[in-house]
Amino acid sequence: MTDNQQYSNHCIQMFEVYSRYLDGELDKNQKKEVEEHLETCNECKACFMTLKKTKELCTKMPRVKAPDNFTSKLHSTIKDILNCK
Amino acid sequence: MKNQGKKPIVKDEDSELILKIKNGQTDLYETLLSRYETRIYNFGLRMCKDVSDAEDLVQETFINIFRYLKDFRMESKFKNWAYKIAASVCMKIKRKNKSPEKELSMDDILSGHNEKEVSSQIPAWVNQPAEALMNKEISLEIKKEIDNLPPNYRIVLVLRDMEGFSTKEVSEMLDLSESNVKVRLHRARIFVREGLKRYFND
Repeated sequence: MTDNQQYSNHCIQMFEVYSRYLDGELDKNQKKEVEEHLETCNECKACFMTLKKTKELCTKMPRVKAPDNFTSKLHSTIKDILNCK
Repeated sequence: MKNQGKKPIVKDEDSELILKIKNGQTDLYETLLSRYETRIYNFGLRMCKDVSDAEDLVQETFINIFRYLKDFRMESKFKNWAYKIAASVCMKIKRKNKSPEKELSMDDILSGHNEKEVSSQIPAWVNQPAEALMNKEISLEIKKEIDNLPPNYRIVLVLRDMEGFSTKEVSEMLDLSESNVKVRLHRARIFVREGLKRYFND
């Protein structure tokens, strides 16, 4: 195996754990390994940063309010089920 | 042993209200409904491609919540129990609509996305704060990408990244192993990321 192939395999190995790194789910040694890899590999750094921003954007997706006609229908359905007066 | 197999009661911000409703103060249902209707409504919108399916999901979820509340043993947070019901209603709707529950490989995700070309440049959008990037257009783009995910991946991404549950909580809600949740989440995020990269490059 050439150096280049070894390097690629390591990148792929690291790539698989980026989400777990972002979620704080790696142990100390794994975390250190990812950080050292990101320091030295620009391709992985770019890949990691886009993934990080994607997660951030997903967590910031705004919530919308349910339409009033829907919620009033929902409340009356539940009221019927519970036989509230 | 007396308590063998019985889990302890989990106290959360809803416990007091739930106990009152379970003990007959059913008129308090409005308070519980109001606490969760926006959250479950948004979960429905994120999981379903069209609004009427989302509304069916919300209605069916709350009907089940109030029908089975008397059997809720408070061994988990109410919120988690409610979402477990919502997730189960959602998967039932997906099965009825024959949405494919396929597995996503990295090749599936990256094929046709020009992503096998590796870039060492961090794109400009990544350096902008998420708050500055987030607008209606971006949220529609993310919604479009999650709509294109197979439902078994979409539900993991929605519960983890949008509804804020932990890996363990999602694994309990969906009856999946934690490692399965992690794999699905990673692939779903990569899938959405590919869409965002295309969006920002266009």
